[in-house]
Parts: sequence; structure tokens; C-alpha cells
Amino acid sequence: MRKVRLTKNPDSEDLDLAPMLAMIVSLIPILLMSFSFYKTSVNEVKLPAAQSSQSKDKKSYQVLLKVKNNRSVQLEVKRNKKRVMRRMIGARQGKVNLEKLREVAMMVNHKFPWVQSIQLLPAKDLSYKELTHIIDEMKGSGAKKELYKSVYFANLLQEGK
Amino acid sequence: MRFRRSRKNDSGTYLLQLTSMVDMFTIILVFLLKSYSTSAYHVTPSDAVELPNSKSQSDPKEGTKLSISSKSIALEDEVLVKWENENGWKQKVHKKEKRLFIDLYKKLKANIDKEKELNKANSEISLKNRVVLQADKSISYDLIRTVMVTAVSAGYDEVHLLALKE
Repeated sequence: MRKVRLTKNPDSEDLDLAPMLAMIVSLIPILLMSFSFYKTSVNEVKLPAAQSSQSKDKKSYQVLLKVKNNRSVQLEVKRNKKRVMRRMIGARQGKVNLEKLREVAMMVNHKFPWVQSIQLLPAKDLSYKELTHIIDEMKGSGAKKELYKSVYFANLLQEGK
Repeated sequence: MRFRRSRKNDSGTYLLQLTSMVDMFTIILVFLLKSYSTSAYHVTPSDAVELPNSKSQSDPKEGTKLSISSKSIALEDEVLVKWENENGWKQKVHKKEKRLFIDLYKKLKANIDKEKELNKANSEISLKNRVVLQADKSISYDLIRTVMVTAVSAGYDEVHLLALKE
């Protein structure tokens, strides 16, 4: 069997990559300039003006989450302004116990699945960071199951609360 | 030590080997295009604000941008309220109308009135009564509440609390 030797054609020319390079070089700075090296997300919160127009939860149930100054949390379920359930979550090392909070929120959501909104009553000195983490836990962000769709701030317009 | 000789063509000029460079640029280009933000609306956090992290996956929507740093409150990058001490903002709150920054209120009211007029003139332009609020992670709820009350009083009914995606 004869072997065919591959020889380079003396007439062939190298591919001219210069135009492609020029295009890429001009594209990269544009993309780098408009590139954001961080991604932002939002936690949607309804204000009282919208709250009044929202349909009331089935059987007038309300879930109220109160964060106290010592970072203990009280989760209360009310029906027609009467307390149906109350759970207290103690602080952990001076911070809100987020793991326990998620656990309790899931339990309450399982028991009252028709309640889609939650009212927050944070302590005055609660930081924006803590507030974001609490809303994350109550909405079930990052979890398989979404917990509460809407979050409101209770007593936002009431003075001295 | 041996050096590779550059290829010389017939005319006597040296040919530059661009293949590896093109390879590298193509990889960078693909990476940039892949991680390019596809959301229609993008909010750039202010320099004076250090945002907290959030597990939320919701992308920011169009709205009036409000930013609260430890020393000021800005509406669309225009500083409206400024203070020096830690709790100095309390002195800027309107004395009669409690929980209202009056300068901020006036600007927000003007903004929403403008939106309403636009919406009236052209119903296809949707009314954006939403505030995209970015605050430094150390800011207290007391201050955030005052800003939210100001926004409600001006006619806004939704607040989007901005954070960095975890």
C-alpha cells in the first residue's frame, strides 16, 4: 500500500486574522465598560397606600412579625384581630435567629397556607442589613418553596409606634 | 538557550503569530457576552452606600431612585438632605409634620405629579409610583421608615429595597 504524503501547497496563504482581531479589540472595551461586576436584586414591599386596595386574606387572618430591641422575634397569627397563635424566637448572640425564624415561618405558612401577606413591625434600631435578611427569610428567598408573597410594614404611618 | 525564529515571508517582512491572541480574546468575549446583564433596568449602587446581601432573585424594576447613606439622602443622585452627626437626620425632619423630610417630599410630589400628567397625556406611558430604595447596610429602620413615610405622603405605593444578589 502506498502512503500518501501530505505536503504543504506552496500557493496556500495564512488566514488574515487582523480584521477579526480589530473587531474583538473594539468590542471588548465597550463590553468591559458596560459590564457590572455585581448583580443587584430587590425585596418588594408594599406601602400603606397599596395595602388598603389589596384583597383581604381569607377569613381575615393576619400574620404579624414583631422584631424587638433585643433582637428576639414574636410571630403572631390573628383572626379578626384575635390572637390565634403566637411563637417567640429568642435572639442568638445579640442577633435575630434567622434559622429558627425560617423554621417557624414555614410551620406557620404550612398551617395557614391561604395567608399570602405578612406585616412587619421592626425595632427602630434594626439595621437595613438585618431588615433585608428578615424579609428574605419571610419570603422564603433562595428556598424551594416561596412563603409569603407580600410584605408590609405595620403601623408605618402611626406616630410613636 | 534556543529561541524560536519568527517566520519570514517572501517579501522579507516578519509575520506576527496572532492565533493565540485571537483565541484569548475570543474566550474573553464569550465570557463577557455570557455574563452580560440581560435585565432591561439596571441600578448602579451609589459610592457612599454599602448594600447588604440578599437571597432574593427579583431583578430591579424601573422607579424613582432614592439613596440613603450615613450622611445624606439623595433623589436620583441629587443630595436633598444632609447631616453631620449620627442622628443628625432627626433635626431635618419637619417639626409639625412628623416623619417627613420636607425637601424630599416636595421633590417626590413634583415627580409623581409629572408622572401623572404624562400618564394622562399618553395612557401608554405607565404610572411608575415605585421607589427603588438603596440604603447603607448600617442605616436604622427609624430613618428608613421616615423616608418611606415621606414617599407614601407624596403618593408612592411601592418600595423596592435594593440589595446585592448573593
